[in-house]
Amino acid sequence: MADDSGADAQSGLLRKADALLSHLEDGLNLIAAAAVFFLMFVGVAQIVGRTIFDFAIYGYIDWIEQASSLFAFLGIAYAQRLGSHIGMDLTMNWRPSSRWKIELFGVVVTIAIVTVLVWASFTNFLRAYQIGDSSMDIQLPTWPAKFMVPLALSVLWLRLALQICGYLRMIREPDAEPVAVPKLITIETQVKDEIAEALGREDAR
Amino acid sequence: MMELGPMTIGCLGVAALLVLCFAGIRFAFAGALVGTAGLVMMLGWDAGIRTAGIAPYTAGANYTLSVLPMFILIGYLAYYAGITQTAFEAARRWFGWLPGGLATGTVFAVAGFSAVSGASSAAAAVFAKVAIPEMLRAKYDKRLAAGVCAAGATLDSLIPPSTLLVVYGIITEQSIGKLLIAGFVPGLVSALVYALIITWRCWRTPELGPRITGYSWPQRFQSLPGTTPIFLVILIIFLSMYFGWATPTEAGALGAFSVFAFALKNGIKRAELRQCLLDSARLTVMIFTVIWGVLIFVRFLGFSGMPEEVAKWVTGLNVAPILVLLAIYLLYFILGTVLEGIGMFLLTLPVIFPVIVALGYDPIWFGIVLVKLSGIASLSPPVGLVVFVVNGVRPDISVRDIFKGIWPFIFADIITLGVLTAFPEIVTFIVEISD
Repeated sequence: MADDSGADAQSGLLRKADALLSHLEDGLNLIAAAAVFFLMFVGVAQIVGRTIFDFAIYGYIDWIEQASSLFAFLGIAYAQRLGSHIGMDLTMNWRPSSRWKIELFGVVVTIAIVTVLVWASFTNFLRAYQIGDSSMDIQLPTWPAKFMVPLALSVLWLRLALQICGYLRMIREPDAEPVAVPKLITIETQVKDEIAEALGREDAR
Repeated sequence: MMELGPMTIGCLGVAALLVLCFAGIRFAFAGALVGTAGLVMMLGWDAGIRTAGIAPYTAGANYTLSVLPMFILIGYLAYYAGITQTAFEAARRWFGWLPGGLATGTVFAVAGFSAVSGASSAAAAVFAKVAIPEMLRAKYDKRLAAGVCAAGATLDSLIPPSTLLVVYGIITEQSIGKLLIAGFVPGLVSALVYALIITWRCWRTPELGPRITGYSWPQRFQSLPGTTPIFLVILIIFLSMYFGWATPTEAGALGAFSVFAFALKNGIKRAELRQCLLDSARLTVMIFTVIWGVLIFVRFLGFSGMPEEVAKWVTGLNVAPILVLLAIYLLYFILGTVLEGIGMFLLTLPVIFPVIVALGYDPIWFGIVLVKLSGIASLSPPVGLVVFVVNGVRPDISVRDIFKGIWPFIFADIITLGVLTAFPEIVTFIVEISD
């Protein structure tokens, strides 16, 4: 595509990177979802086993605690991509051009702390791995669960980096179609999404 | 270089956190940033970073917190268990004969569905679609019809399963089981008070909501099986906690499993189940992230000693505890109109909760009162998301009309809150019996 301007090539690249990272995030969130589903069955098995058969799953609490790291962390970048993390949106009524800037500021601040935490949680994992740290009851090794933290935060770091590029692009070319950034929410779109989601499920019935 | 005392660093930290949150930084990352910076200032680089680095794992690998994904899963599965239409139909047959009975029935149906689905705005949307047309057809006042959908939906957080109560329990280190038991009666009382108001108003002014008669007892009982999932989930969780049969996670798992069974019976498709699970995972990670982010901040506050100092200062004031409590109510009411519950609790409780304890108030009781308060605030102008959601579904009923429709309920809620404050036993007696 020799005729394409530099800007187009850039947005193409951003789109490709976004798609690639989205696959990874979807996959990780799917693992988290499977863990939630599995936890339901384990909980039922434990309660039925204990009350009816006087049988308890060996090391139940230790297993749940270690496995919890799957749904506690793996979806973090997925949620960031969708703009889901909990916060205040006082800038909802601002002009889009100002909002891209404030969003950029937010993501830059976030990536700073995430960088520190990737490193901090990685050393926490490394310590556990080196000293052979284990859980209280049945001595499960804790390093796999501890590794989930730097892993998930690294993917989040990539997502944030991509969002920085996305916001910079929107600031430079305000009329371009947004790529790799969550859509700007206003009270109207928020209400509309909320309704569409709830009634979509309802109508499916 | 000027040396800052721990207390000063603590106060600066709180100010910095607020500024970052107002600037739109997500709470989790604002808390983590300020917390880590503060820890480093007080403990030095190595120990500070290490303390911050441990926090996510400590929060994530925690059995108590594993109840969250279960409650969340119940909520998403609830849409597929086919309960909204059946709950409304049952409510109509059982309560229709009362003055304004269809509205009263809607309050119970929407409160039940909202409790199980755990999302008040979504419940308001669904019932605005299901119940408002029926009420208008029965010649009900449109303000009343829209008002009950919005107001009833905000009763969700007191009736089990309540994610908000779990979050309160986590941040204040209170028994989640006790909180879930304690919320049940005030939740029920709130719904009954709503019902009384509707009945009284429609009895005085029958045009607001005419009676609907003609249902036989067999017809009433026939309508009950369809509402089983609602009763089942609420009872499984309440009774397990009350008799100590299971941990909250196990009770949540059993509740989720029962709703899952109804969803299967109702023909949930594979893609729908997948979406349920993906949505549950997303909401779970959102809540876990904000918990560990704020946990880093809480660690830092703990080292600064600021919360105890604030508590000491407040108790040292020559002011009656009830006045301090009322000031705290006012603070939460104002915050609650612009913030949703989970974020508000996590941001404020690390400082407010020690004050409450120092003043001698019961921590479980305070959790229930706070949840009630955030429900009232979420209904109030200027934001009141549920109101806008009802208006979005029914654009023919203006936001102004809906706010007019809910003010009697807000008024009633304030009285309920007053009663709960004057007689805390209403909240605590059931916990004491279960002990």
